[in-house]
Amino acid sequence: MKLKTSFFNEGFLLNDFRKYSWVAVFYTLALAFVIPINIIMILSNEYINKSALKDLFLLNNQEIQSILILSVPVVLAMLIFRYLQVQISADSLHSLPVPRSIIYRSHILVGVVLLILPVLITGIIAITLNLLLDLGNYYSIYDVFSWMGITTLMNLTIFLTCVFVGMLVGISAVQGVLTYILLAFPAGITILLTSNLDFFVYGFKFNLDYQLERLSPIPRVLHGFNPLNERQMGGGEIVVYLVICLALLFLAEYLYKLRNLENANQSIAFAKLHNIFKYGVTFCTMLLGGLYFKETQQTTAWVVFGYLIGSLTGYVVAEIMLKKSLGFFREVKNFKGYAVFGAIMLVLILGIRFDLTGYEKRLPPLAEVQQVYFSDSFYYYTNLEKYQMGFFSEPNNVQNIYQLHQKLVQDKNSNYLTKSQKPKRSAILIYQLSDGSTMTRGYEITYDEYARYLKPIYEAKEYKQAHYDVLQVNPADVEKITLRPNMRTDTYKEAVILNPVEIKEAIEVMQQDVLNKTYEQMTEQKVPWANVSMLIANNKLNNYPRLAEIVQQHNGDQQINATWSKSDALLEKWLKEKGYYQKARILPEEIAYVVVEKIESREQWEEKRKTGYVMETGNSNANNIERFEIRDKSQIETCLREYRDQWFLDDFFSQNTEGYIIGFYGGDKRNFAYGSFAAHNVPDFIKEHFKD
Amino acid sequence: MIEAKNISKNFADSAALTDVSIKVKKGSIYGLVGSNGAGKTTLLKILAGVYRQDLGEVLIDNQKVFENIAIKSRTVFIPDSLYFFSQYTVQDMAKFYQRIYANWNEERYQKLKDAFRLDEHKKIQQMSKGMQRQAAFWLALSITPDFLLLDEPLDGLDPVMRQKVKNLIIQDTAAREMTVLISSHNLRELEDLCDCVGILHQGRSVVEKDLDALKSDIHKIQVAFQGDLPASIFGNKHVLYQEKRGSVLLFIIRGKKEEIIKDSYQYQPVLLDILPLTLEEIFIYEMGGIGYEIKNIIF
Repeated sequence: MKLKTSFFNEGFLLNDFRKYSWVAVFYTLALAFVIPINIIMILSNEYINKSALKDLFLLNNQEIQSILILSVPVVLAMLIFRYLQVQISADSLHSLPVPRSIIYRSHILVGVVLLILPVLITGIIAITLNLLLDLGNYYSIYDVFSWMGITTLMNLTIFLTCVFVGMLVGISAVQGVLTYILLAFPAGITILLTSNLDFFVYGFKFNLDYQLERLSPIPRVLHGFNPLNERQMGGGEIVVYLVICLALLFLAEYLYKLRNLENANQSIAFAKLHNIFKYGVTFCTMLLGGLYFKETQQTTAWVVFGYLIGSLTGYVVAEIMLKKSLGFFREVKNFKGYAVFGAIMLVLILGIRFDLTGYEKRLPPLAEVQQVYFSDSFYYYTNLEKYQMGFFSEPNNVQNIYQLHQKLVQDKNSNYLTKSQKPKRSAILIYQLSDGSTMTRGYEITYDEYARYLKPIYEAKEYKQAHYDVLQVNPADVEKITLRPNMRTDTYKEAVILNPVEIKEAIEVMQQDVLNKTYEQMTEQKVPWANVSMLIANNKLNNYPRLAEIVQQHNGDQQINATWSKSDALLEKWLKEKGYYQKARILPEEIAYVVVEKIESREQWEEKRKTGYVMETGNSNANNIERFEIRDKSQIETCLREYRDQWFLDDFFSQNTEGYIIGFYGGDKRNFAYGSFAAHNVPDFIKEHFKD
Repeated sequence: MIEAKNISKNFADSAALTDVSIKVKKGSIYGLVGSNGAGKTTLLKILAGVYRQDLGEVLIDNQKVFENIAIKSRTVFIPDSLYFFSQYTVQDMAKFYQRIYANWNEERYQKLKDAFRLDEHKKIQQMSKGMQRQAAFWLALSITPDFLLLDEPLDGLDPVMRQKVKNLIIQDTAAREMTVLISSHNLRELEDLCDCVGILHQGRSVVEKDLDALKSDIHKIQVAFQGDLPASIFGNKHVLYQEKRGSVLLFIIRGKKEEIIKDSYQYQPVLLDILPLTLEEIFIYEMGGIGYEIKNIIF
């Protein structure tokens, strides 16, 4: 026998090509529209978005391409292996003198060829277009090759997953549905498990940033492969996908040989998997039910109810699918398995709830902590390479964070599952221990309540260095500093510093201001005077890797930004000395008058927002809310120094404190800005005015 | 030789075959008879290497069948529900089989074209059920298999076609020593075709008999005597059944015909008649009790 016939079967190959080539033709046409024709369309536009063409090959916002990758391989696998799920064809074809492994391989070869050819053809057209129309500025040949590689890899992964699932099940529809479930499973189960643990375990937080793309090809394909979003496909990931493909390829062949053909038309073709399927579904739907009620109700009773409803639904649905009839309701004994499952889950959940492992109280030995990450999100930890921030290694700081953590552990009763008037934020702690392991905890807390513990952390140099870019700036690298006032008036103004000596002084002053900042100043949330942009010289960009990346990728400004806060006294003094002061901030003279209104309740605030409060404050004939107009320049100056952003009113009312809304107006009643006052930053004369 | 030894096969929660054994001699045509659900199709699919038996052994030419390509390429199985690729004509299917079966005989295919008179270029799925079955036979016989497994093959064929197919099977069996296993729920249908018949009932083999031996061995006699019946008339013969209708006695007797006649004449019967037995009658009497039980189902 010839070699080719000993590995594949000519009859099956030709037959498959004849029957299923239309899928490849369809796919080629679809890709032709999405890529080559799209390229020509984009090029024929008057204004060509430079990244639009490259985006095509990075799957950046390419919904159609993503949907094709997620659907074509599944459809193809279902079609090619359809004969296995139909009794007549399965029996007929397996009576032929062709071993199962060769039938399988022949079908797989056809599937692979039919998936690769359209991508290859499209790629060749794209390369030809690139060469003919000289499109090297928009996309490179390498982009096309990388697109072909990634698309094919994802196509094959999804195709082989569907083939693998096809071996396990006996109904094509079930094959399709289970394929997507399996593809989403690693990400789905991670979300389900972690978010349920998150609810039951005080201090449990899981870092989901970028995890979904890492765990499932579905979000991976939908979100694209743009390196600018940290989504490029690395070598490691390619290897993982290849290994998965090979594993699926051989596993499916093994299952094919093992499969009993009479099980066509059964939901699950292997009897041994029935229980895994049944209790797997029950478990997942249980978690899903819990998650739903956790998100909507936030109480233990509802979550437990969600578990009950979810698991029961899952159990019933799985039973119906396996038995393909509703008959099992008739016998109570069919629910015996559910009862056992429920008992095990009850023990498990109680064990977790009562913290049998001591997870909630556990703290690492302080001596072994090498450094600790502390932030209100996982963001900087996930993007550690890019930002290099969030970690504290100074022993003092580590100790302060450790103390905060101890306090958090103590405060379980006041933080865990309690509703707070004040908005809660996450506090994420990640310890890196001397044995190389890490320990992660996360809490939802009201930061204000921990001011005493946060103060030394915020005021530490390590914290400031991470959070204030200006501390990283070398004055010698800066060509120009521009201060732009935050409030726009009728005339545009900005202060520009070009003198290198002054630049050096300004930056040093700003750095000193930052180092002097107290916790209170850092959290006061007053609207800053001005935005400060420091233009970095072209040849010095490499000293600022993060900036260099932004410049290169977005054609962005090569500027490092800082703010001139109200508390930055040294900068204020320096600007006055050098004569930039007037231009760098808004002056009371530029404001004709200010209107302040007291808002006493949330309802009033809602009402104002609904009716367009933006007009109302300036309008003397507004509803019966008392209106305080200020024209005194020194009072206006006080308002300017103290006002906060208008959105803080939301917070005030959620805390049931009264607040004031303030509007700044020019001579022609033109509004420049809105702001707010509340609690401790309300100027005395305003309090006085509204006293009665 | 096709041989199944003590085959058992369970589906999900029911037993399809229990300890079934059959033996089909080389060059013979074996009729597998049973009611619907008796397990014929399952047995055939196991013999064809489609299903795997749970217990027992399936041998063709003394080799195991499952995944045995050498044996399977000499075997053709025509299932009761035929499967053809959609959009395929007889010619397309022929090309497909040509690539699958090494012993495809193109000459035979062309020759049989005249026998079946089917339009080679018509899509098979557009043909009537009977025509599809003819197409299946045409293709199967063109493969020139050594072993032919047929599941309810004559269903849906008109009497003329039925006879033609039977003839073709007999021809091949005679000419090439093809071994045929043919299943049917109707014993009568196989009467003029098979050398040997096995009956399956509720997943078990009930009886297996060589037809020639059967027919020459068992007889139905009507006799009447003047006076009473001599007590030991068939004393040394095996009487399967006896019945008295007025003065006429009816016997079903196993034994040589001449001897039976000789025995009867010893007592000077007023009437002696040897009647032909149909195959079904033979089986019913052979099987005794169970014969009556399944009589209405199979025959």
